[in-house]
Amino acid sequence: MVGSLQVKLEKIDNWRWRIPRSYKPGMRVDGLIYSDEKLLKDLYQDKAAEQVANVAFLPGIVQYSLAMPDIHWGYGFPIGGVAATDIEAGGVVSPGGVGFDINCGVRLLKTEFQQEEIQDKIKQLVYALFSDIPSGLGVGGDIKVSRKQEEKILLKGAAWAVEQGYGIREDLECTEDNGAIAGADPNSVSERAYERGKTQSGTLGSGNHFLEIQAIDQLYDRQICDFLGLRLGQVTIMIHSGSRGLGYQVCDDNLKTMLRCLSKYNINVPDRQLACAPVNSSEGRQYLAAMRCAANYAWANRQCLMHLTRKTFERIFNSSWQKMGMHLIYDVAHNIAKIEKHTVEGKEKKLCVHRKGATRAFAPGDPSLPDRYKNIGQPVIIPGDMGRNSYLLVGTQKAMQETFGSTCHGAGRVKSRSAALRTIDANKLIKELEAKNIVVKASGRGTIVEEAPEAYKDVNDVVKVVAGAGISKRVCRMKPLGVIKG
Amino acid sequence: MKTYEIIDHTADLGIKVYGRDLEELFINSADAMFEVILGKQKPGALFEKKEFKKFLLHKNAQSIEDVFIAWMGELLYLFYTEGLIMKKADIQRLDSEAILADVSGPIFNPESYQIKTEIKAVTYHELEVQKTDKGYQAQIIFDI
Repeated sequence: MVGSLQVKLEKIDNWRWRIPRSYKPGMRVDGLIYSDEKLLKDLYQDKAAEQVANVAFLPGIVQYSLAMPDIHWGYGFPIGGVAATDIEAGGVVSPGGVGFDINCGVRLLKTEFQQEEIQDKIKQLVYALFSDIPSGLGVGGDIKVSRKQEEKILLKGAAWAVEQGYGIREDLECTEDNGAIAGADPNSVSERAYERGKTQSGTLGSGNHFLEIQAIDQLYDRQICDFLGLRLGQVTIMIHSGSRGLGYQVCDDNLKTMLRCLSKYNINVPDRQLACAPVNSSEGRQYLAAMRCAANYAWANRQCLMHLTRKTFERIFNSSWQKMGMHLIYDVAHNIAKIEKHTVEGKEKKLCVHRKGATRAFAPGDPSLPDRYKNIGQPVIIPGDMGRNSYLLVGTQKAMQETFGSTCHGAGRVKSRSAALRTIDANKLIKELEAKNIVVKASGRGTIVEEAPEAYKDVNDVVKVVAGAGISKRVCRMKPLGVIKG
Repeated sequence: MKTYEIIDHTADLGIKVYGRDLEELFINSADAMFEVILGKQKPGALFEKKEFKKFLLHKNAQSIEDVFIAWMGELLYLFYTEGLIMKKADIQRLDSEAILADVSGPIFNPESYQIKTEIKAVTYHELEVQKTDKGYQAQIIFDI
């Protein structure tokens, strides 16, 4: 599809491009896209840049409508979009600025293994993980919960899982918001959402959700790597999943309500998927209370998935996960709206920060970080596609100043799923991955093709931009060894 | 006459659906959605024969697009919670305020078949329900 952006982006420097608010009447702030000459070419292929301009219509938006270098065409918000609204000035919250998969996110855990120690077991591990971890498509997970328990999950998040014995307290410390965001109200979640969520606890999900065994192939910041106990060749595990059907339904329910709010609060947005309501309105509060429930469900889910992963490793290696050093480095949300304090034009303001396909990246010293990470800054986990790399980064002061403490979230698609299916040969792709010693197991060949490396931007290019712009710092890079796709 | 085609969308998946009248457009859209989810499989061998009937009613919508979203969303919800794959629909009322229908079809059996594409939701993004020379057409983008 040909891009519809009529305006030429204004280059600010090598990493920053502006869409002036004069581009469209109704834009309240400029758009600002983090990118470079190479990635910019993809931007003109679809409608993502137009969506950055559309987000600038949101009432109360401050500073910029931001987009990270992994930006691609979403629905309403672009994926890779960040927008903050000033709550006191009538700022809005938009379910479209979070997405259907509320608190889709990633966690990274380390192991004490070196790649060569487990290389001959990768296939066995991948197949065992594939059978132990339900994808949840049409099949419920093994972790069955009652309605009362489900309400507890929505309140307590990952802590619920730890109470059940699926992990330890340390895991919570190493999770954004300790694995549960405050202000969740289970009564704000519809019966339909409960119904869709009840069989899906502890399931991975489909599409781009995955579990990956990796090895560290490059160190960028030795000091931080030493601090985190990370070295070259060390095996790590990455888990990417979200809030499953419960989150999708919470978004769906609230979108309907918010569409009615557009006329009620006299809000003008160019896309119905940007429907929103003031944060300080009954509809805004209701959405945030339900969104937080879904976010907590997702954190509980990733905690359960990590527990199942540890169990599988324990079985295969006949050891305990503690002995194998399977500690959580960090868990980040990349589809969420948060109430945070940031400095805007010299004044501290209470903002509603939407991160839609973007990751929080707080600087060293931020009071919301756990003590163990106060000196290095918040760990940021950036998954790439299954044939290339993934990254561990940390947040910076520059991110606090420019992006409300946010950075990119992944590689970002460039090729639609249908285009991938048309143009990529499954057999050839599997052979190519095998040649790189990457074992892939997915429920269908279609998934493998849809998620092929060439359907994505090169994550190395994406991370180069956020590092170049100074909104994150590279710590180390991983390469995939084994991948499980839902 | 082709009933639907896939349209490219970078992150998600879109379809353009055609129908001679609104009723046919709604039914073809539902068929297309289930084909996206399940692929072109013959249900007989793969799904339990058990039939399931459900009466649907949505009202107080403000546009045909709202009714359309409600219809597709309801079918998606019935699929994920009850396993209903809509094969037949008897639409008794359909206008820009409401839809009233009896829907039925086989129940999905997860043990014998896997879902090809999980559709998370039907989005409002670039949603269009339009009258054309030949009848009606709709454009829908799914979040997958």
